[in-house]
Amino acid sequence: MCAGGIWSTVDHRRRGAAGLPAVAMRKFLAPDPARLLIFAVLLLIALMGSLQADGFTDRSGAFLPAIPFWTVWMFMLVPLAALSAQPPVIFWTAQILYFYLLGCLLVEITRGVVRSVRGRR
Amino acid sequence: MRTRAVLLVALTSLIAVSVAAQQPLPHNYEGPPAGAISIASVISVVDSGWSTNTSTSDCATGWGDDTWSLRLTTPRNLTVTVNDCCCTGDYFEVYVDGRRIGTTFNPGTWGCSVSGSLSSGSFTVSLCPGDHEIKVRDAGFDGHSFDQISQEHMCPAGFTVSGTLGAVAAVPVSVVSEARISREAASAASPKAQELESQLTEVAQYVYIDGNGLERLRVDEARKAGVSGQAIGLAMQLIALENRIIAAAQRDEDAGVTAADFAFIEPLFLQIAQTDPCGTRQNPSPCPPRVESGKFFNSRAEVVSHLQGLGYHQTAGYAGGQTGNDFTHVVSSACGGSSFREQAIIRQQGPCWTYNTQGPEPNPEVLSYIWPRLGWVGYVRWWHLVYC
Repeated sequence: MCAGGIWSTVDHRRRGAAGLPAVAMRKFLAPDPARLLIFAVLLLIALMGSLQADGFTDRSGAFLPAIPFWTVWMFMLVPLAALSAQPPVIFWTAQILYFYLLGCLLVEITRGVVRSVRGRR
Repeated sequence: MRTRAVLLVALTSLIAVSVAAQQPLPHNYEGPPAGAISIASVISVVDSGWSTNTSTSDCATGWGDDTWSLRLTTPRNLTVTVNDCCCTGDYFEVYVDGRRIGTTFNPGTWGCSVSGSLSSGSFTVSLCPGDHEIKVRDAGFDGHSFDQISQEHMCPAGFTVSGTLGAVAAVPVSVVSEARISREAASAASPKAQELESQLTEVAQYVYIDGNGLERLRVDEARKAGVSGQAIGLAMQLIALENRIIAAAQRDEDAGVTAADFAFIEPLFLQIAQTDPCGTRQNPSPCPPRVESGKFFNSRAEVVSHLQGLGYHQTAGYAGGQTGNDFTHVVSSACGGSSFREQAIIRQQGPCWTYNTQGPEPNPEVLSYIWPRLGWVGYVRWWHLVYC
């Protein structure tokens, strides 16, 4: 998939300058187990946080109050703060897209770090 | 001459109305419609039932002569019972606030010259506090000509209307919390400040402001209620100091107070000054009690509109507003920004809508304002889910 990193696998000579961003983007967004796993974890945190938020209305029904799902969710949502007042459908759609992008970014960063550590050895 | 004629007609009408009003209804109430004068009256009832012998003189529309104006101060179930009198054929529609809540059975026989059953029926409706209008219409005239009504002596038609009030089934309130003092927070406070605070809390309900704007203490009442002498002494000392400042301000003079004047209360003042106005887990902002509004509305839309008029908005889904019944009103606080709010929760109680409020409390709509500190989100979650 993207084991070699998104930039290293792009054939500059064949694709040409115009096709480069599209190919790189496709590579960046291509689903693979690592991306999907992180996406699922982020989504799970959001769902748990959302369940926990119900406790603000009725504390007796607070969901796992000892685990800070809501706190983590809120920190993750800071970049989407501007959309927080939008209708739930828009807000949740934006979150799903954002979590997938975040998953891809985390995978790329992790792989980049791993490559750089291996390169030094 | 013309004026005299007008006066004569008016006088005749007045006499006719008075006679009709004073004249008792005939035994069967039902007589010829010609010349019947309808005396419409409104019978006012407050938080109680009634039973009225009444009639319908308007044989064209069938509307009863009486209207009941019921004022309720709490949500109640109203049962309206209508019993026909005398001649078979009348049956009745019962209206509450313009809505038909039921119709008594149609006996199937019609007229004073025939025998048959008399219609009756009971209908129950749940009502919110406020004013309600109850009307009854005789539907037995429908489909019959004036001649038929006259021949059968069906108009005016007599009947009895009674109303009884019952309790509305109570709906348990799921969100009821009481003000609590955090043991964790209390242990973190200075013992002296804690003692002063508890003494002042003990005596606070006996302090009032007199007509001159000065503070007074109901010492006897406080003693009778078992308030300690120490607490009363502390309160009197503080009240004396505050009254000195108030009196000086009223005279537009300097009270001349020095730090020494506050020595007796200094530990508490120091603690207040050092406390983070936003609250921390060691010293959280107080957990205010949830207060019932005591206001009732006929619909969800009405209560929502009322809250919006007070500056509330529907709480964001991520902050607990997913049910749509949670509302937020940002309030000013020493913490700054929109970090504190007043929360309102609406709910249905019987046929009515009402709400309760709680606040000020840390605002969980954390994506709508700048946090006072990085750990604020964690504190807000802890405050709501664990502490209060």
